[in-house]
Amino acid sequence: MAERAGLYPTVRGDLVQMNAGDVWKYGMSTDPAGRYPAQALGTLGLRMDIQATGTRPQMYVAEKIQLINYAVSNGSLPPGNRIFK
Amino acid sequence: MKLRVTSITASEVGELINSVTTGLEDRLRPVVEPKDYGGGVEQFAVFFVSVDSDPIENERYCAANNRAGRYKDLLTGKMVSFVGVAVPVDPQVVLSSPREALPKQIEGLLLDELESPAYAMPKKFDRQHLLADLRSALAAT
Repeated sequence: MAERAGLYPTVRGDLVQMNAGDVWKYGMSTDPAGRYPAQALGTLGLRMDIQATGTRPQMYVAEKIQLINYAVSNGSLPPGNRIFK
Repeated sequence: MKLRVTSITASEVGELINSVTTGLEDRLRPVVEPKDYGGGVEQFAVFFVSVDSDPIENERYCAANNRAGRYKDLLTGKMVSFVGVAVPVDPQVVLSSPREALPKQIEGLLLDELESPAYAMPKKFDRQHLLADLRSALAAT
């Protein structure tokens, strides 16, 4: 999520205006703290919000629902998501 | 040395902690960023971790960030040498603290963690100098 309002890079190579608290990327991992730490959080001005924990199938479903809801509301994927998994 | 202060949190405490970390970053950057603390360290990254009130479970999210190393900057493509420190924060404490008291509590946890870090930081990195600078900056503001 964005920590502050400002311009953030997207995985599509452009910049997008975001407000504090806007989602930059939905993701899932068996090791969330280890997957994105210094690189993403250190470079991009993002923070990590752990929204749910569960089994892998549960998290796949949760992630897909979040992506669909975001795309319906905003007309595109979050700036950090490249594809619908 | 560049400074980043960020967080890994459960949803219900994310905004509360974010309001503290952004304020902390704004106050400390003018103190830390003009200086070189040695060891070739280009960035000091602080991760406040407030995911679970069970300390063992919360610690799982700390381990990966209590380390020094290098990463590729996603914007410039350059390698950045960094020292990271994860500061565990009990989400229940965050939720039960008066909002005006939270910054001081969280700052205290950072100073405590830097006083006795969970891992051996690079030998030539002057942690004591950084700690002294943070202490005086936080006391002054």
